[in-house]
Amino acid sequence: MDKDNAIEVTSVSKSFRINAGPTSLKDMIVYRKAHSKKYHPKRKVLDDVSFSVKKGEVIGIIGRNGSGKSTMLKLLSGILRPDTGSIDVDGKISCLIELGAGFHPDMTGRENVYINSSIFGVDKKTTEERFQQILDFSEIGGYIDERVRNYSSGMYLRLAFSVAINVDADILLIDEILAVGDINFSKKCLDKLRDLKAHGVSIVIVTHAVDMAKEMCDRVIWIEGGQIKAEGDPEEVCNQYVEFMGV
Amino acid sequence: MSNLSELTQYRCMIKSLVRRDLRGRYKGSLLGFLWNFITPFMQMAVYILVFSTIFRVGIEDYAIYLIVGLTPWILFSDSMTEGSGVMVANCELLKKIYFPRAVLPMALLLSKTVNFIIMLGIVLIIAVALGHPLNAEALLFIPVALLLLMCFILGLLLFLSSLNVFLRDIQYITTVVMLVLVWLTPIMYLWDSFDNGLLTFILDINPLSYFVELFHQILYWGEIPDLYYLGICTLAAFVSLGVGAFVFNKLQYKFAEVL
Repeated sequence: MDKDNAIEVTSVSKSFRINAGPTSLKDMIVYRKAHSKKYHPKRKVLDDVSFSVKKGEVIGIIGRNGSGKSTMLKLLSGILRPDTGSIDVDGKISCLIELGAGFHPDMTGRENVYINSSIFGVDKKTTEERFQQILDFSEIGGYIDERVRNYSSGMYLRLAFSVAINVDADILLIDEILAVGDINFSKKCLDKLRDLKAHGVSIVIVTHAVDMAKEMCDRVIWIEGGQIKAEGDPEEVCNQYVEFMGV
Repeated sequence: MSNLSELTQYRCMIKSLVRRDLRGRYKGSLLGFLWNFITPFMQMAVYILVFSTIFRVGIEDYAIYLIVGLTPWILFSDSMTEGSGVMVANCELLKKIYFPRAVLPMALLLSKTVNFIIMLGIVLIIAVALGHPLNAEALLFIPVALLLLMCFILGLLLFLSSLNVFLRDIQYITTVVMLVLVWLTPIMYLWDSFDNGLLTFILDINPLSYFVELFHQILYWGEIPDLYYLGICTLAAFVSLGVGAFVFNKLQYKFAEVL
């Protein structure tokens, strides 16, 4: 692995069985669905994808719905494993795919901050040190000691985002970031990301917001039908993509 | 091996999941944390009542015999019924965040163990209150017995919880098996109180009999446990943990896909 690279993806392919998961006895006997290839066809989601991310680089991944962007992120985070090919990662990953997963609605914001950081592998002492920073960033204020159940969806996401971004990651994986909070908070998030980038954090952003990709990213990868269709200068690739989509 | 070092990195997650389970489970209820004891305690009370007044069993200090056996049984059966479904129950977390998957069954087992320890304290208090003799040297073997039982349970949990992802019936089968198994383990009666060959045979091949007997020896009979029981329990713990870890390792990368 190249020393300057944070992530190296080498000819990764991934396919899913459709209707995967447990089959019921009724389905097995009556419809003989158990192992038939017809009932469980394979869908190739990513096909021989290779790219790398340098340390401190911001990469945007664009592409239409179902093109394999989110699967790519899940592969990078380790939630899924590639069928073939390899993914090498240098550094600690924080994954902002689904914010607030693991929050317990009946516990307070404060308790949830600790639980959530621990899910990212951060110990209690470090969280304690960083607690004020998380609280300030989330703008939750006095509500931190209220049950998360009573939070507005914006507050919920803001708190979750603040935790995820304060776990000392070397690599951030982000799915559709602009959905977090109001305009002010979105702007704050983007500023924070720039700040992290300046500190050498590598960021991979999956997005549909072409303008943001142009503004934020050093490089954009366009995935179409599970393969890389174009890669390079954000302005150029985004324009190609927009043209391709015919908007 | 890299899995193990990763697990130590995530020990904070295990801790906070245990805390979340113990404190969050009964949040919003009036009695809260107390519910962790009321249910097993009522279970014990009912058994004691039924067996000491309705069906008379001729065992000295029967109440003590019963609760000493029930305490490890409750740890086992609670861990099994809930733990076999632990992956499915946490599927949202599994699909969205990366963490070593073994954290989930471990946290569940630890939170049940906390309950076990508190119940054990209650059992000791009852034993002293009823004037049942305790052997201090034998009591030193409790941690050993508990550790063996925990390894045994963890192995089974790894095995069942990962299979349950692919065959959801496992979780319901486990509940049914627990319902039957409580009668096929020497908890309510003495191991050798039957002449029935089949029943004796079942008791002999049921690994849990040996674990329960270990606790009986320590707490009820006040003896230092036999090497025979200790040996079989150690063997059972290792086999369970080995098989469980093997199957779990094979299957864990498929969880996020199938769930």
